[in-house]
Amino acid sequence: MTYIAHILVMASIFSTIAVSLNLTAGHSGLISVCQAAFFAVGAYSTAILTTAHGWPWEASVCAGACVAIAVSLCVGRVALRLGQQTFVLATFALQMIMFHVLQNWSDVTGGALGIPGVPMASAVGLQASPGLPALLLAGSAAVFAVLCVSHITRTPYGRVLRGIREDEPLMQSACKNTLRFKLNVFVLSAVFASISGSIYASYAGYVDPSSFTIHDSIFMLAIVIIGGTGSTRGAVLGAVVLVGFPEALRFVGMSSSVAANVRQLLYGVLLVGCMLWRPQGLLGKYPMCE
Amino acid sequence: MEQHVANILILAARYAVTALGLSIVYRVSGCIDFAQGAMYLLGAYLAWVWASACGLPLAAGIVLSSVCVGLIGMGVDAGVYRRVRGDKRAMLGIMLASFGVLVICQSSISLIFGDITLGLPRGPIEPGRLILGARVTDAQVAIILTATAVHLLCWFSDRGTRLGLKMKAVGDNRELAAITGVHTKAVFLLAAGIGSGLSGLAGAIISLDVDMQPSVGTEALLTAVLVALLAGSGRIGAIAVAGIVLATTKEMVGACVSFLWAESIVLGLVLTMLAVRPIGLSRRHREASR
Repeated sequence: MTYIAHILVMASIFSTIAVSLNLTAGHSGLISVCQAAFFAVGAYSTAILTTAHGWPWEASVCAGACVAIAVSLCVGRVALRLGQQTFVLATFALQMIMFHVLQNWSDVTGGALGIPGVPMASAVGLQASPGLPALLLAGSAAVFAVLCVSHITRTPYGRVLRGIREDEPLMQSACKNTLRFKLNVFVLSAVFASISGSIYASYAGYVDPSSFTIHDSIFMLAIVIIGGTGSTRGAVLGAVVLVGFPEALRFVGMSSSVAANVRQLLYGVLLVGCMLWRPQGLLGKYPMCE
Repeated sequence: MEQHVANILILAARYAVTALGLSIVYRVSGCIDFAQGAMYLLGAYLAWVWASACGLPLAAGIVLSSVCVGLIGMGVDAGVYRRVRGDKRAMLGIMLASFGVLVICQSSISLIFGDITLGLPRGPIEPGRLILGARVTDAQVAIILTATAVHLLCWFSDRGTRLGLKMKAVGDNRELAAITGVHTKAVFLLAAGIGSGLSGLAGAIISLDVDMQPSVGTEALLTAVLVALLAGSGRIGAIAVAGIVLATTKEMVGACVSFLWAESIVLGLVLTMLAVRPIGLSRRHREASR
């Protein structure tokens, strides 16, 4: 039961990220490969502030979200002015900067050894211990993300985002400040990734740079693409499938290092297969290529 | 001082030769091929297989691995990219598929060779030669000579051969090139082969100086991306200049601030420069605005 709860917690954490990333990648057509960097911002903010400074968990989540907003605003203002492909390169560069910072700023981030002993999340006096309480916390974050993104996509605001995705110059000619729209969704997805990071850090109890590499960013993007671009249900389904399915490898008797590589191999194959045969993903609305 | 100049030359040669494959493919297809990181990785490991496991002479192993990687690149283009390639939006599809190829190759290498460090057979370790007051090893001389030769060859091919002209034509306007009788599919295939072969050569030749791990592909990709961002276009001359500028900056930052932070600071500087000049060092906006 605890094992199933663990898988569901991880699926909920990645659902939150995927649903918000879908707003950027699916609805607005902005392929960002720095989501793991914002995930790390949240995770490390919580880990550092709760262990070294004794901050309450809620305050550390807010601090992480504020840092994510600041970083995403700075980077978004530069990167979103560039072409679609150069934006991907700039987000790739941000991801690598973040990884270098986590790895090299040993005094604060603990370097390659990471930060152990992150306390469990606690809200209104209740502790989110592993099992059902943690699932409730991660699940409610995922539900909040789903409600938030579903609301945005149903409003005229969401229509503008889809318009930007289809034809940005046309939206500009309709007097829409497309840069601001793109910046807003980029920041929003960064905030959700940061909140997920805070939940992850307090759930895992330990953070280290290996959980926030470029491959984790590609994994998060793969969840959106495979689940279905522009579909909130697809993003949740993608997270459940991509988080849950590799767990089956444990039952085949693979060692954890082999299972990690097979898991990566699997989502690489799925990503290529998706582009070849189902570019809109499992439940997607808009194909990434036509 | 002499040693700093030598270090800059070595670093510039490494940067320029690593970025060449990605830039050639980008210039022809207009799409950033992240799989070039995988081709670099395959080049390094195949050179190890030929030279260490099969006992071939080192030079033959390096040449053979570049040819093999070129063929693999052509296979990826024919099997994956050609089927995704279509309208402008397909570029995102190709980019996502190339992420998939990168992940597949890296995890396969991890599964086959393990996550250990491997090195090409270089014989006993000897102090570098003293050339004009700077100590340079034979491997570093080989890297500088190869990078120079490959750049000159590409520059002459770009300017003076029919293939160079066809590549330029397809890169500028695919439809128009097809109307004038250029076999665009063959040009894409050749560009993928040449680009991948060059990335493989970069991986193999740099492995003479630096040991290899499955993560070297991502690091090489970062280098290539940095050079591409700075160069702003796929011109051979711009790549060489961008390589020299980056190497000089990194060496100066390393000497004046810290070698540990040099990579992150250079990444940050490139991102800051993009805010001021989004087209990089390129003189033509059209080339950089994709």
